[in-house]
Amino acid sequence: MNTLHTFVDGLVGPIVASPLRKRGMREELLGHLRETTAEGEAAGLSPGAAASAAIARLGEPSALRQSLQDSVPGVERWLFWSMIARRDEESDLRYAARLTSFLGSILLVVMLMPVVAGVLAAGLFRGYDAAVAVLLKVLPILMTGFVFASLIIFVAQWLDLRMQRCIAAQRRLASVLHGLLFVASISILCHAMANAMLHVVRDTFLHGLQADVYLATLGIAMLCLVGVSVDGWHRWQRARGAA
Amino acid sequence: MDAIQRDELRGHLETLVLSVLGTGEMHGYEVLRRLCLRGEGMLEMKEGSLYPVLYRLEAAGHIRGRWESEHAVRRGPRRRVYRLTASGTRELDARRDRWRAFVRILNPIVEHGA
Repeated sequence: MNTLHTFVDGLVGPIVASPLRKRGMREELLGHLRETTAEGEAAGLSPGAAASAAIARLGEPSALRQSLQDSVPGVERWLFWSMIARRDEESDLRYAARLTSFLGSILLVVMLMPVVAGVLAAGLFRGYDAAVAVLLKVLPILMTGFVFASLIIFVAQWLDLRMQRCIAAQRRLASVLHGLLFVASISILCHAMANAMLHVVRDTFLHGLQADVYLATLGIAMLCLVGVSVDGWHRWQRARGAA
Repeated sequence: MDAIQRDELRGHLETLVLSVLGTGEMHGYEVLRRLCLRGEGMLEMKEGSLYPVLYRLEAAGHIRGRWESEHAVRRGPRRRVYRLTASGTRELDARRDRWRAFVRILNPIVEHGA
């Protein structure tokens, strides 16, 4: 069944679409191939021959990939092409930089949300001067945090790309090393973000949320760690299966 | 008689899929199986071409897909089950009308010449 997995991964991998849509395509095509393979085996073919026949029946891969790509709505294609999809011949560093600019803009919006809330609250309840005071206190922290966070995200992205390459090449030690460095960089980022958020909420009218903010940030960090571990393990198993 | 090649099917595949789904909800593999069955083995199409058609029809709102229940008694990847929507039913009716008109006009020409 690894042949089928590898084929479907190679087919759907380069398609520019949301991860959710691509996962659906993978699962559906894999299900189809498995049923066709089972049909071939029932007809007396060996498992390998049945899998090859099932893949051949699916059609020419590049034409199928193009049809699948064309079925992705234009807006989604544009969004994921311009922001996330890797271009041909793009280096790890360049790709990491582009991903950082995308994630950085999301981070900026997330970081600005409590500030906007604080400024609005100050403006509503205490007037214009209080709102300006809140902005002056919070913005320097926020901007420093944003630059720092962007730098860490860039390093983490680059480490993640390196880790994926090492996993694909079955270099166990290098994979684990890059994975650990990746997790370390994410941990530093989460810790820094939690502290920055604490400063922000302390300086606004959201004092009551301090503990919640810290817990939520820690929760995100833990989710990242679990996600990276599971993803790394999954990729490793795939790479082993394909080898 | 020669098999009907996929180039000849192009442009009709969406109608065929809508028509098959008009008989009830089913997953992609079943749609294909029924097409082959009703085509008496004469429809020569690449199986993969079904899925982009399903995705396009779903994006247009003519069919709706849902992942088969996790509790379904079978192993392996989940299957996506498709059914016709109200818009799909209207689209199918319109396509059938167009098909009848197409056959009505072209058939005498093909059979007896212009």
